Amino acid sequence: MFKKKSKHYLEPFAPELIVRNVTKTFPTRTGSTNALKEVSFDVREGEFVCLVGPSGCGKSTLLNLIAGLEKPDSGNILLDGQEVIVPGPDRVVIFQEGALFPWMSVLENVEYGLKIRGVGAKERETIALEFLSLVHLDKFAHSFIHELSGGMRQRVAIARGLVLEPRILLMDEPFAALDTQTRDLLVEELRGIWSELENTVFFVTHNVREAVYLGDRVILLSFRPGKVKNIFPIPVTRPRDPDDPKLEQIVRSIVEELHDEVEKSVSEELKE
Amino acid sequence: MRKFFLQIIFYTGLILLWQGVVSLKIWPEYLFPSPLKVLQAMVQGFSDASFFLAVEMSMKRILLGYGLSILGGLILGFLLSQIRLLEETLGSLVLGFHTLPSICWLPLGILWFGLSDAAILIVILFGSLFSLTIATTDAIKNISPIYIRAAKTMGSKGWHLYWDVVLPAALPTIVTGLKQGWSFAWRSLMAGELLFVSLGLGHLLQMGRELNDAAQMFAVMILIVLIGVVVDFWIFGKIEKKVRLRWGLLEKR
Ligand SMILES: Nc1ncnc2c1ncn2[C@@H]1O[C@H](COP(=O)(O)OP(=O)(O)OP(=O)(O)O)[C@@H](O)[C@H]1O
Ligand SMILES: [Mg+2]
Repeated sequence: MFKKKSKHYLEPFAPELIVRNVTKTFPTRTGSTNALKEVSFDVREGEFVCLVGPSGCGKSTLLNLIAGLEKPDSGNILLDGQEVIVPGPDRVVIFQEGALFPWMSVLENVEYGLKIRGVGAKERETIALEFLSLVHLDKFAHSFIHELSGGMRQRVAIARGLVLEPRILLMDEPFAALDTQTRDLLVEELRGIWSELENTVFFVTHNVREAVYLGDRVILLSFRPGKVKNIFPIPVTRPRDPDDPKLEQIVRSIVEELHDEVEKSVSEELKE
Repeated sequence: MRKFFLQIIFYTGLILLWQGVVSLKIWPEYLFPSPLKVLQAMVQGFSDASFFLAVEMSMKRILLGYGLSILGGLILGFLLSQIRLLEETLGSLVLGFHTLPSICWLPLGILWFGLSDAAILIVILFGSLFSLTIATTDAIKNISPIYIRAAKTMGSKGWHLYWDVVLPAALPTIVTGLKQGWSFAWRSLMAGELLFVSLGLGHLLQMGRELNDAAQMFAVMILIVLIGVVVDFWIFGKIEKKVRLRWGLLEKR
């Protein structure tokens, strides 16, 4: 049903996404917030990369920079060798709040990106329905957003993003607002979808367990200014068992390092 | 349901009280008529078609005036929300005119257009245009930015972004503005028709005064209230509720 993503074998060793020395500062009333400082990393094609870090360390900022919704003060972001300047459907974002359009039905939401692209009405309905059934919501195609639960909304958001076949799917704490049960369900669903479509995914979360279970690598950002503190490869073959002691061990070592950063962030926050 | 019965009881009581006061004969009946007299005047007004004509006249005026001000308000409001220079200059003028009671435009309207419908139209137009402009600007400026960001990452821009996302996102606030604009327009119309006689409901009131016919004036006033209530609650109220529900701004009951 879905075509697997065509791999770009022209430059077999060139990463799909390159983030180089990215620095971002926000002006504030009292001065400025140094959100990101000299952040560098690469993401390979088809890779699932997770980003963790204490609250306020610049995770969303980094994701927005990759999306092209913000501009770096210095440094470069390259997708397939092209500098990222503006937002575009090759880097679809899935936000924590879903950000579905309540004035459109579920189906119209999923169709929207295709409509912009100029796909004809019949064809885009067919495609949108395929992706809705991928997230098991084809029965709700004609529902309105306010009729859906939080978990269903995030699944629609995922379908709405995937339908555009982005080069990289950017997810900013997509499940953070959900209850644990729904969250586990959606993590499992995302894993299934990813193993089928082999998309490149950049996934921001503050749930280390989730990051380790899903990711090929986990990037840990330090507290302000956000720098890459460490990058953890997850050398566990799939399918993974969430209770695998090897995963457990990686979780523990990440949590340990994260803990120091969280402490810094808390003491910083109390000062403010 | 409870509210409905309460209201029936309340209005029955009110009418009885009214009748009671009339029975005391403190004022002569031509100044303070009984409910029955008012009802008769109402029936009379509709059977000799004078009320129909007046309502028709007033409705024509307001539909034209309010329609124009919706058009103008949406366009002007949109421009003000998008063009900073315009907001910093024209914006203050709009705010200023908004504070001017719309009936103040009537003398100028008469000077420019004579005792014609155009003079009244000016009053309705300027009575609601500025409030609609301000409401539209506010609505667009207060859109939740998440919608715009989401649309942009899906490749939406330019015309698509405005038409598919910005306007619908602003719609709930715009509808509230439309409702408020309507009531401004309605008041302006009544004031205009009262001051310068030319058919319409306001004119009927003036006629009642000239004929010392308080019963007819009561009837017309009730009619004006009824029209206002119907449009405000049944038309705008319903639309507003529906939009807010769909947009997820209202809890389902
Ligand atoms: N538009 C902005 N204007 C000013 N400051 C901003 C802006 N966006 C982010 N910041 C600041 O930059 C820092 C990083 O914010 P960011 O939202 O990227 O953190 P985060 O890691 O995503 O946090 P969380 O885990 O709470 O979502 C914060 O201190 C925040 O206050
Ligand atoms: Mg964030």
